[in-house]
Amino acid sequence: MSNSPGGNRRIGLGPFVLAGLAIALVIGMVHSNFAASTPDALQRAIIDSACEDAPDREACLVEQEGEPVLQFQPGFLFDYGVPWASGLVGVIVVFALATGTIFLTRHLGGSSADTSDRVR
Amino acid sequence: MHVPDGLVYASTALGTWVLGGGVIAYSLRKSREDLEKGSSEGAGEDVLADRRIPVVGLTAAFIFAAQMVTVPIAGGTSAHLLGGAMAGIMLGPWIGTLVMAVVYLVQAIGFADGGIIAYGVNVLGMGVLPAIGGYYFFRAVTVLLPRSRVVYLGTVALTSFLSVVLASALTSCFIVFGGPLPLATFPIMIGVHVLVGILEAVICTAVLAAVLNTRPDLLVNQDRLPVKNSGGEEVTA
Repeated sequence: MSNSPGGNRRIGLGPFVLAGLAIALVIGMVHSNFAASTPDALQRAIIDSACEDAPDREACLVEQEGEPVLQFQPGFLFDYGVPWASGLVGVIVVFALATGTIFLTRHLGGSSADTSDRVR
Repeated sequence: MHVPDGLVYASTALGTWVLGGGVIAYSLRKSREDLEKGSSEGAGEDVLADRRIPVVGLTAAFIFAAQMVTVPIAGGTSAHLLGGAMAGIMLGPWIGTLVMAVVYLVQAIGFADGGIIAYGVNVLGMGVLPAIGGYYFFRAVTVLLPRSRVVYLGTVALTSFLSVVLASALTSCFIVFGGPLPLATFPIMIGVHVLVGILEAVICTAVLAAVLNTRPDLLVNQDRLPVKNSGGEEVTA
C-alpha cells in the first residue's frame, strides 16, 4: 500500500485485481443464487405489448419470441442451472478471455506505429 | 435485455452481425494503438498501459458476475446491471466495447443467455452504444464542469442512466422494426428501462467511487479526475 500524489492511500495492482476477482466470484457464486425469477425488462415489454390479453401469457411469450433460428442451443456452461458453478466458471472464463484478447491485441499483429493514423 | 434468437428477422441478425463485427474489429485496432501509447508515454496518460491489462479482464469478469444477479423492480419485473457505460468510462470506448463483446459472447455460447444469431443485436445495443456513447457523453459533460468528485460521480450516474434508456431504445428498434414485435413494445421497453437505469446508475457510481478511492490511476479520462492538493484535499479546478 502506498500514497498516491493526491494523498490517497492506494493498493498495489496485484492485490487490486485479486480483490476485484474475489468480489466478482462472490457475486457470481453466492449472490446469483438469490437472483429474481420474475421476467426481465425485455420479457416484460413483450408480455405487456403483445400478450397482455392472451389467455396463456407464458405460451404467448414463447410464441412471440419465436422458434430459435439456431436449433442447437449450446449452453456448454450449465445455462445458469447451477448458479454457483456457472458463476465460478463464467467469471474465470470471461476474465481469461478478456485479458487474453487485450494481451494478444497488444502483442500480436505488429506495431501500428507506422499506420497513417499514427503519422497524422 | 438480452435478445434471444428468434426475436429478430434473419436480415436484421445478419446486418447487426456485420455491423457489430466491424465495430469490434475497429475496436481491436484502436485498442492496440491506445495500449502502445500507454506503454511509450507512461502511466497517467489517457490510455491503458501494459500493466493494466488484467484490469480489463477484471472489469469483464465483474460485469459478467453482476449481470447474473437480477433484482426485482416494480411491476413484477427484474433487472440487472448492463455495465457498458461503466466499461467505457473506466477503460475507454474501444477496450470497453471489447469487454462487453467478450461478456456477451460467453453468455451466448456458454449460457444461452442472449442468442447467438442475435449476438450482433446484443453487442450493438448493450455493448457498443453504452461503451462508446457513454465515454464520449461523459467527456462532453465533464469538459464544461469543474473537476470535482461530485461532478465526476454525478456524471457517471447520469451517463449510466441514459446509457440504459438509450440501449433499450436501440434494442427496441431492432425487435420492432427488424423483428416481429408490435410498435407498442417501444414505449413499454423505454418505460421499464427507466427503472433499470436507476439501478444501473447506483451500481456504476458505487463501483467508480471505489476505484476513485483505491486506484484512480487505472482510469482513463485522467484529465477529468478530481484535482487534489498535496495534502490530499480536493480543490476546485
